[in-house]
Amino acid sequence: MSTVRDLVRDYSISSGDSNGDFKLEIPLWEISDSGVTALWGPSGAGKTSVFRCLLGLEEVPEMKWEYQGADLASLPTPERRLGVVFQNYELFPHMTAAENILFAAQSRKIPVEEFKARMKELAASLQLESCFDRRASLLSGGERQRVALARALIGKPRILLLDEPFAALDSDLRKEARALVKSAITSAGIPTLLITHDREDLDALANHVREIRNGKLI
Amino acid sequence: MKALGWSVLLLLLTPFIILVCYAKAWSVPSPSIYLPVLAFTVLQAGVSAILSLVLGVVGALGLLSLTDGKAQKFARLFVLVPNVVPTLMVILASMNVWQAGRGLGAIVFVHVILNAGLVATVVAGLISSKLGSMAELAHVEGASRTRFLSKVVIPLLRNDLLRIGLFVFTLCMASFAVPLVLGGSRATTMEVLIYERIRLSLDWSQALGLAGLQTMVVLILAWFLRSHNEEQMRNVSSLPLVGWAPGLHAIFFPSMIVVFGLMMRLPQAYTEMKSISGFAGDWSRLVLGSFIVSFVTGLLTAFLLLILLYVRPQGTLRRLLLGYVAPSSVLVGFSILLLWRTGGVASLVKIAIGLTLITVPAFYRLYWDATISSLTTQASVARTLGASTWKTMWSILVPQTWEQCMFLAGLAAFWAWGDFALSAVIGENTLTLAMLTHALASSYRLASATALAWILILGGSLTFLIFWGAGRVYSTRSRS
Repeated sequence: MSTVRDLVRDYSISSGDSNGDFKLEIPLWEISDSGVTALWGPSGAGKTSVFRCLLGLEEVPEMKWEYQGADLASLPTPERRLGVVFQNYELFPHMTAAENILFAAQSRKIPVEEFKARMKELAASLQLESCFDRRASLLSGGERQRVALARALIGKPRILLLDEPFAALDSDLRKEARALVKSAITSAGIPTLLITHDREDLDALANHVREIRNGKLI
Repeated sequence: MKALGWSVLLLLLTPFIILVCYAKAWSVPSPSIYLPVLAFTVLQAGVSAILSLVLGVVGALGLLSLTDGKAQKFARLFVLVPNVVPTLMVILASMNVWQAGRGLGAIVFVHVILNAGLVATVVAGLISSKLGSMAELAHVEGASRTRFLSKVVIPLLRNDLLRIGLFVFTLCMASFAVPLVLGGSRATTMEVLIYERIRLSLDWSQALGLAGLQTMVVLILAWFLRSHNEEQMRNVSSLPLVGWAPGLHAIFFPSMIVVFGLMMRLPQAYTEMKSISGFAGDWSRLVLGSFIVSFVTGLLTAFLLLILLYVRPQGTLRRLLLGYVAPSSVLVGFSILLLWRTGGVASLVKIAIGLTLITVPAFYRLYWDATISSLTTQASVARTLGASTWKTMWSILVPQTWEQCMFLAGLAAFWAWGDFALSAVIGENTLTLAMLTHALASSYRLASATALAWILILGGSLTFLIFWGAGRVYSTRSRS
C-alpha cells in the first residue's frame, strides 16, 4: 500500500485567476500496490490535476507520497521512476515507435540485453512488431496507445499511471484495447493507477475504485 | 537551469544596465537643443504611424479579397519584402525612386514603405481570425461591405488598431538608420542626436543623458504594448464581404518600390565605381569584415536560441522575455562602446554581439516562444520517463527545432550583412561593405551604392544558405 498525504493545491492562487476557485484537497489517500486502482470522476473533478501532481509536474510542497519506505513526493520527477501514459499518448513525433521505447529505456539506463528481452516480450503482448519502424506521427490511434504503454513499461516503473488511456480511441477499438492493456499490465505485475471518467474502464480494469468530485475524494 | 534563464535575460538587458551604471555621468543638453529634436522625433513617428496604419488597413482588405490559396500566400509574402531585406536596401531603393531630397517627407516615406506591409498582414490576420465567422454570417444575411466595416470591423478592432499604430510609432521613434541617412541637417531625431554626440562632438556625457531620456520614452511605450492573451476564433481565409481588390494595388506599392528601386541605376554603376579612387583596394577587407559580422551574428543567435530552448522559460521569466523590447541600434552600440573600447577586429565581434542583442528578443517574441511552448508537454513526458534535462534537450527538443533555429540564425546573418547603423556607432572607420554602401549613398553616389546593395544581398543570401543548409542537413539526417 502506498499513501498520499496532504495533496492540497489551490489553483485560484497559482493561476492568478480570480474567477477560478478550484482547489485540490486530498488529506489522505491509500493506493493499493497491486492490481489496478482507479480514480474515477466527472470532467472537471480534478483527476488530471491529481495525476500531474503525482508525477511532479505541478509543485505541491506539502505533499508526501510514502511508497515502500521512500517519499516519492520529495524526489524530482525523473527519480520517482513512474511509468506514464498520457491521454493523447504524447509520442515523440520525430522518432519511430521503436525509438520512442528505446528513449525510455536509455533514460532509465536499462542494460541492452535486458532491454532486448523486455522489448521482445512487450512486442508480443502488445502486438507491436508491425509498427516498430514507422514514425510515431504515422501510427494509427490504437498503435500509438500500445507504443505509449510499451514506452511506459519498458523502464520497470514502480507504479504505472494511465490518464484516460482509451479516451482518444474510437468506441470500436476501446474494448479490444482494454483487453490488451489489462493483459499487458497483469503480466508486467506493476501496480497501476488508472484515471478515467468512463465506467466501462472501471468494469474492465479496476480492482479498487476511488471517486473524486470538486477536488475531493468521496 | 532557472539561473541560466535569468542570465540570458540579464545579457539581453545589458545595454540598459550599462546606461544605468553610468547614471552619475548623465548630463542632458539644454532644452533649446533637445526639445525641438524630441518634437521632430514624435512628429515623424506620428505621421509615419498614421500613414502606415491607413495604408496597412487598406492593404489588409486587399489581401482578404484573394480567394485562391497560392495567390494569398504569394501576396502575403510579397508585401513583407521591405521587412525581409535589410533597411539599407529599402532606403537606397526609395532614394532611387523618389528623389525628393532629405527631411521629414523622405523619412516618413521610407518608414511607411517599411511598415505598411507588416501592418496589412497583421490586420488581415486579425480580421480573419477574430471576425471571420461574423463576416460569413453577415454575408449570408445580405449586409453590405460598408455596413459591415463600419458597424463590426472598426468597432471590434479599434483597440487592436490602436495597439498596432502604437507599435509602429514606437518603431519609428527608435528608428536610427532611416533618419541618419535621410534626415539631413534640419531633420534630426533623438537617435541621430545621440549618435552625433558620440561620434561628432565626442560628448559621451550628453549622449548618456539623451540615451536615458530616449530609453524612458521607449520603455513607457513598450509597457502599453505588452502582450495580451486574446481569444482566437476559427480562422477563415476567404472573406468576400470584407475583401476589397483595389487595396492590393496599394499594398503592393511599397514592395514594388523596393524591387524596382534596387534595379534602377544599375547600368550606370560600373562607370561610377571606376571613378571612385582607391575603391578596389578595400574590397577583400570589407567583404571579409561583413562576412565575419554576419557569421558571428548567426552563431551567437543560434547559441542564445538554444540556451532559451534548454531553459524553457516559464512564469515570470517568460513574461519578462515576451514583454522585453530591445533598445535601438544606437543605444546598443553606445553601451557596447562604454563597456569595451578596443578597436580592430574586435570591433567586428562587438557589432555582431550588438546585432544579436537586438535580434534575439524579437525572434523570441515572434517565433521561438511558440516553438518552445509547443514542445512543453513532450519535455514533461520525457522527464516522467526518467530522461535528464540534457537528454531531453538533445533527443527531444533539438531534433524538432534545429531547422527553425538555424533558419532564424540565417535570417539574423542575412540582416547583419546590411547593417550600417550599429556599425557606424561602434566602428571607428569603414569596416564592412554596408558601411561603404552607406557612405556612398550619403554622398549621392546612388548607382555605386545600389550595385553594392546587390553584393550585400548576394553575400547575405550565401551566409543564410550556410545556416539554413546546416539546419536542413541535420534534420534530414536525424529523420533518416
